Amino acid sequence: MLKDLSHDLRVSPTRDERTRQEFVASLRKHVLADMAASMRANYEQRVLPAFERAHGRAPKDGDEVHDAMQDERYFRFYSSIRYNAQEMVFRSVIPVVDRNLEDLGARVRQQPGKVVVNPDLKVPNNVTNIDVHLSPGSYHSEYQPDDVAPGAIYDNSIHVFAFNQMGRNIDDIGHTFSNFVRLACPDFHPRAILDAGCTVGHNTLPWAQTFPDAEVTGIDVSAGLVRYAASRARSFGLPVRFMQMNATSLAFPDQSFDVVFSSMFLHELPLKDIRAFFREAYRVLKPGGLFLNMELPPNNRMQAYDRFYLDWDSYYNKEPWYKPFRDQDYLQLCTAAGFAPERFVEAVLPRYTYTPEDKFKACITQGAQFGSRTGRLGEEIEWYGFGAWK
Amino acid sequence: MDLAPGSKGKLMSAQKSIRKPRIPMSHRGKRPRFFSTSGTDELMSMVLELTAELWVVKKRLYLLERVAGQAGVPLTPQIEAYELNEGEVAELDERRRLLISTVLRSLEVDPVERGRMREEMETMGSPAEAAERVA
Repeated sequence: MLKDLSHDLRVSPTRDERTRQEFVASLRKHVLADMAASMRANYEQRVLPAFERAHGRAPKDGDEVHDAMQDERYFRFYSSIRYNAQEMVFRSVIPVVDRNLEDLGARVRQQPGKVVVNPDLKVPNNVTNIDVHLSPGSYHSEYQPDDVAPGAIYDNSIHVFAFNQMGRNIDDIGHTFSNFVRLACPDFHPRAILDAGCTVGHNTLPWAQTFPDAEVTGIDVSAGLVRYAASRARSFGLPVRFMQMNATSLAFPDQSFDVVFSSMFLHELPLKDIRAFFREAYRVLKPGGLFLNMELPPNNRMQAYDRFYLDWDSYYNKEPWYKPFRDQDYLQLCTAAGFAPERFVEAVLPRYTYTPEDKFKACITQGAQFGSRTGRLGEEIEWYGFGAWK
Repeated sequence: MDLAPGSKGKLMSAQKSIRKPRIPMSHRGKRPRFFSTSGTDELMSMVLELTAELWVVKKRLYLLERVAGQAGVPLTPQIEAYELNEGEVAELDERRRLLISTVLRSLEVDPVERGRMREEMETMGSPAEAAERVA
């Protein structure tokens, strides 16, 4: 069962529309849990031994596994169903958003929250040139003056996409990483926190909840996202501000923040923009501040099959920067921006929302342990994060 | 509860839900091909869309029977005897057309691909010629 979103910008699907959304959520769960398990078994029992017979060794990376899987019937059905399910996520929410667009606009005008839109900002090509992860209109398209369609489409589609695995308000990632900081560093009291590439602010707000004394800011290049994010935050009663801004060129003075955070953001950026953002993060952090990115885990730390499995999105889901990012050495990305190598941090964490606090705390001290559940959406997913102290 | 035929309120809300959205429903760009046999990718989309629509209907019927039962309405004989009016026929025609275009959407998302498929069909010859070959 999918529940309604729990804030004032929720839109109500008809019973049939909700049923269709539930079908798509179940289909995704089936393909990402059941079919994924069968596909791995298929690989281990047949594809891998055949590869080893032919080459005298195991596949050395995800691309080799991908090549070996190409002709597998099961992989083709898995991919076809997963691809169609992705399209159907958007098809199941767009009619609902479209029907409510004027009303949503009115609700946002009535309760705008703290928002700064920059009409002079050029939305970058990596957002405008493709419909990122098959989302019609990508992150930025607007259909009426001061539109919030991108926010409403994103918020409602990720709700279907997550099949109840990412928190009640799709905010588990924010809760996991803000509470990781709170529990791992009890003497660290951030006063100013930045969330870059925040979309609708679903993972920004947990920082304001975890650190109620901090001033929290979310930025994104899309006006339709930050308008929606600010009004959404207002409906939760959280004084978080949202600004339309490019993370590669931050309009903040040096040393303005104690924490610079991002989640599921870097893999949408060309490498040159990742590097520019890291330099900006270093610049705006105060000495002793923390740079922290929740992301997909790096390929160089994963088994060949897990690399292939996670890179599916880059091959087929209109995420062209996903694999180039995951192929990077994350430590090197940080040090190239000025962070000291010994100040590098990384963590593999269970989901805070679904884990008792003592168990969550115990996982923090274990250090980053990579496995097949790391970064893979399912019931036992673990989130990965990395960054550095300045 | 008003379960009378042609209840206007219900009809209005149904019509509202089938208007064409201004937000595009399909993403830009070519869809990948996962199968080597021509047409299998499109068939997969059709099967999945059909299954989604089937589930929507199954759940709706499930609810309908329970709601009617709660209201003390013996639904089955009434359905058998019901006569659709002109407006209802038109609405169902439109809904059926939408169902078909949703199930067959994979043939329409990419004009380039659609052109290629049309060429293939043309090289297969006209339906009359094909019928002759079969005969």
